[in-house]
Amino acid sequence: MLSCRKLLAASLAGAMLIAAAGCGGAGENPEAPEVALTEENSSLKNGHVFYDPPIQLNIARSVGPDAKFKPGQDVNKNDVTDWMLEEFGVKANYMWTTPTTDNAFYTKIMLSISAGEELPEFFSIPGAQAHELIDSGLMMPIDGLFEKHAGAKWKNAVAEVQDPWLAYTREGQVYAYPNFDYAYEHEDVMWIRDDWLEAAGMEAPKTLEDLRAVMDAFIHLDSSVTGFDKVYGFTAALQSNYTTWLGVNPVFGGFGAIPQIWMKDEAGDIVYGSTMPQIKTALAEFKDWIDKSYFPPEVGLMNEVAAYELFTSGRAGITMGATWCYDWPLQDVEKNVPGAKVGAYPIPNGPTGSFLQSGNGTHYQVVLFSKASKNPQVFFEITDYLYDNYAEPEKGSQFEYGFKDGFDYIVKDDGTVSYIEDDIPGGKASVLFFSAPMIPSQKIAIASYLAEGNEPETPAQIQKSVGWNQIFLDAARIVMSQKEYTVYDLFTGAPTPTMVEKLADLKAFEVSNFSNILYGKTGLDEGFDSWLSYWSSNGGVQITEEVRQWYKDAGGE
Amino acid sequence: MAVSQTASSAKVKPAKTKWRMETNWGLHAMLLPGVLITIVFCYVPMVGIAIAFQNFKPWLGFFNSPWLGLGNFERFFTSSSSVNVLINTVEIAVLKILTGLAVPIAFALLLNEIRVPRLKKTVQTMVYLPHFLSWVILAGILKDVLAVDGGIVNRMVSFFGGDPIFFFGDGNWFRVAVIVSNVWKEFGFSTIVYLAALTAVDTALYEAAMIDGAGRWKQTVHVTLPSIMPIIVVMFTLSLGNVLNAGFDQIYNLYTPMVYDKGDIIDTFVYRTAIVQANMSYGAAVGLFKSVVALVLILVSYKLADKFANYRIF
Repeated sequence: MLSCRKLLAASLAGAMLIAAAGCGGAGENPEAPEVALTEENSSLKNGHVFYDPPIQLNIARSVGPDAKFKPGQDVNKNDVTDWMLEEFGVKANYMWTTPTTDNAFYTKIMLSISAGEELPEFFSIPGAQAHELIDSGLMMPIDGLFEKHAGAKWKNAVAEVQDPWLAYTREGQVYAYPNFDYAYEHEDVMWIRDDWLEAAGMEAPKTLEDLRAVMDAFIHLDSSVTGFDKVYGFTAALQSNYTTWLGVNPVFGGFGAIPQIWMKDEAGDIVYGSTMPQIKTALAEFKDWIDKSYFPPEVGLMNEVAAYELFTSGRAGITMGATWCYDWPLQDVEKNVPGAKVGAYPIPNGPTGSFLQSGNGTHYQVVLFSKASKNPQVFFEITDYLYDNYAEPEKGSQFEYGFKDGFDYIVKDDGTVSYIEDDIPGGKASVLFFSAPMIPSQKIAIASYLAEGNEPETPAQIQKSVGWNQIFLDAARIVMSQKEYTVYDLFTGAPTPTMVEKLADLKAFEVSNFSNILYGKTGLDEGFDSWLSYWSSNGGVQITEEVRQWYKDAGGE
Repeated sequence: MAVSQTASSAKVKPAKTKWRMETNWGLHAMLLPGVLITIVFCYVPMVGIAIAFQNFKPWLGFFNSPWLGLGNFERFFTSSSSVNVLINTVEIAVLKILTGLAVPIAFALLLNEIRVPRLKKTVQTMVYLPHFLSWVILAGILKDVLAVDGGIVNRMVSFFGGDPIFFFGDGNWFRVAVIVSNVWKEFGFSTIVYLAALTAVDTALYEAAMIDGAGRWKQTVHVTLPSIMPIIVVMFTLSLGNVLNAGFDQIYNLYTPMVYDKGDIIDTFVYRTAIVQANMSYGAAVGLFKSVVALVLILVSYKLADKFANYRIF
């Protein structure tokens, strides 16, 4: 064991050494020449750019289990790359691919940089890892390219996002294109066992008081109803991340503050949510829930999986989670427990008379462009084309039913369109370009439109609604109705110097201290005061100043 | 282990001074691959220790990353958690070393008394099987077995009228769970080493002891234990190098923020504060600190073993 670890460490260090030996190129020549856009060979085809002779695009990506190819196709040769070549004269050359797990892509990029190898012209990477690369000075600013190539549809989609570029702005220039996700779909609704509600003869809770009453009724349900000797009112992941999915951040928000995110206090100043006095009241509430067994006894140890397992095994009545939580994993309870039924309900209001919930950010991945990239504009040209033609396709257009007949859908002999895996010869493939053109509001807007009993009509509505069920539609309608209560973490920049040094320490103290409060190991007043004084004496004050300064510099309001 | 490699390769040099090419070249040739591998994979990469004194950035490389001197070490030792983390590490590791030494010896002595060879072999195999399970799997099992609500251990506790124990939420009980599960997982493996040593004890000694009227217990104390003492010393000396290794795999898979006060060790602390944040220099600095402490401890215990047990490992 020991020798294995040593060998591994040794070989890693060896790899780094070799990497360092060859690293002169990247380090000594940080000022890459101004990019010459090779547009001399471009002409127009169908109103968009076409390269003749074709240009080669040297890119890279991670390929996970969700990327499915047709038989005989691979990442360098498939329907999508063929289409890029025919439609745009762009030959996609994937220099390398990595698995999606274990940060493999990030590691490979870092090793390429240390070895001074050629970087992909552009690539997609989690936003949190992008900051380091941007600050390395090896990436290209892109605001000019976006302004030049993005059309109205694309710009409108980006305009839906609050502060779209803030996180990746350095001295007024934007260095990354965030792959914006659908908005609101990760926002929480309250999931309740409808059959328990019925057995208890109660309505879905609308306030915190109601919620307590319902939880109380649930834990006193007869075992002939629940099938268990002991059941719990509410299951949640309270281990260390208080804003995770299946957490309780909307209940915290009912008291007026969300822990672990940067938000504005009453005075309008940015503060770390966990230091706000409202959190103390919320902790007192949760302690009571543990004492009264509304929560399972191990709630302070539970992660998301433990939290949903309690629900899907039929031992907990309420949880709060995203719109997709019924599809996975919560509906399993209906298979595991005969007669179980799950329903989606609005988040109950807290003592403030309303509530807040933490938003999940506007994106996860961003696209970065190497300074040495010869054809960065291709990303924008193709993405713009997709926004114009694919995101909201016209009836009768090329993309009306999806990307390509036989690729992600099939027109059957009788003329009907099927998206079912088994109907498509060779299986359903997934589209493999960098970012599907997302209109953030599109998915939940369509779902809540359909929730009102409307039939899908437009091609986008028909395509998106494949496989949706009524419970998801209900959840979508609920998040649309409560979207103004979502607050986003205001700090999205690279970790500040004091954060790098102190934040992990502070967070460890925070969560262990809060757990001690929840389990009565320290008193509420004493515990919360010690957290506040720890925060201010161990770097919290400097971090707050740095965050406020960053927000001001990045242009937040 | 680090030391054994250092020492064994150090021994290669004096051997070379008396080297008789004409008779021994075959043996030396067989040694060569091992020596080369040790040099290439154990000594050359040590240059990488430099990053512990830098603020290493991959795009700047070794040569252009800014030097920090002892900055990374300073950061670790001035961090408000570091004292707590160090104490936890040493306490958990020492408990593991002691239990990891005592339990296998006791078990090997007991097993050695069994007269039915098949039973002996079966037990031996059964107890060392858990060694091959990973902590990821065992952690899942332990969390289930020790659950407050419905775990088999707490059901037993309740059956005898006790209050359920919050194993993974209470620091002291967490330590108990960690130490006991570690012993359970690993003692079978060390037992084999001692059993092997026991078979090598000269049976004439037992006969002589019996003639002198020694019973089973006296034989164990005066014949068996002294005979296997060299092996015990070797095992103890080698395990001392682990005094700052409290077992990342195990702790990481079992701990939660609720037990940071008693359960957070150097490795998990560094994982959270350095590795997760891709701060390689900081991680390297703490790793280097651990290695230096381990090296000193092994050298000291080696000298002590030489002096008091008159036993040289290398």
